[in-house]
Amino acid sequence: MAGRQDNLMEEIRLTFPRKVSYLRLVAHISKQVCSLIKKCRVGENFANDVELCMSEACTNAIKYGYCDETEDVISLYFQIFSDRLVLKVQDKGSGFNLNNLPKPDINSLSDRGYGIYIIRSKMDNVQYSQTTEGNFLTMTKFFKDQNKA
Amino acid sequence: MKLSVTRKDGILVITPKFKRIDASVATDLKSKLLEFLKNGDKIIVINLSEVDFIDSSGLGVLVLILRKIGTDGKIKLCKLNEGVKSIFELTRLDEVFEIHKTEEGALESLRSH
Repeated sequence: MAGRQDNLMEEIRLTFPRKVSYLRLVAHISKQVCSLIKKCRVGENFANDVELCMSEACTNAIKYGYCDETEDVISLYFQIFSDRLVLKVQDKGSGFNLNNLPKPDINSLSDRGYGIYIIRSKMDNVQYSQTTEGNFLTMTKFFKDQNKA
Repeated sequence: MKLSVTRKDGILVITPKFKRIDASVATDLKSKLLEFLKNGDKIIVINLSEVDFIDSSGLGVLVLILRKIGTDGKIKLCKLNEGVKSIFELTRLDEVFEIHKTEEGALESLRSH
């Protein structure tokens, strides 16, 4: 039964140039992917959280992911499982340490650091890995938790 | 990127005329808002009624402007839709910004100072 839960039902991939002008396309596709799984108990809040977190993750990858211009693309993976949506954002930059990022300090009116904080708040699981294929920010949201936020 | 800019009783009212504030518009928005500060406008209402999406890039711009204004001026936000308001609450920036339900409410709070 556990194996059945882990069956990947569908995967949608998108590769796009490392430009902020593509963020609207990412938002549109994020919503469309969620509409594919709407019949599986996910609602508007779920779709809004996915759109927001993909915007945050792609912005990070676009702005901070690269140390040169030779690997100028970002790749996204939307993986639909029976009980969850897994989102992966791949870049080939120098990467960062997810655990070393400070929480945003509103008392000092810091204008940075909100992105990963928002992702951690909205997603059920967030992991970051650096491999020979690039850096992967992997975000998981379970369908059953749609009303959590 | 289009902004509607009006002046009411000496208070600058800025209304972004677009739905999303993300990294694709944040740099332009920051430049335009900083230009207003440079020109001496430091009592500002930002009407977000037409914005239905904001992410950390947009929040960062607004926090930067708040910090630049400092104690020399005031900035008030108004007419946030539920989705946008929820992001301010999530990041606790609703404790930093004064947020009004209506533009008139924001203007009135500034007139009374």
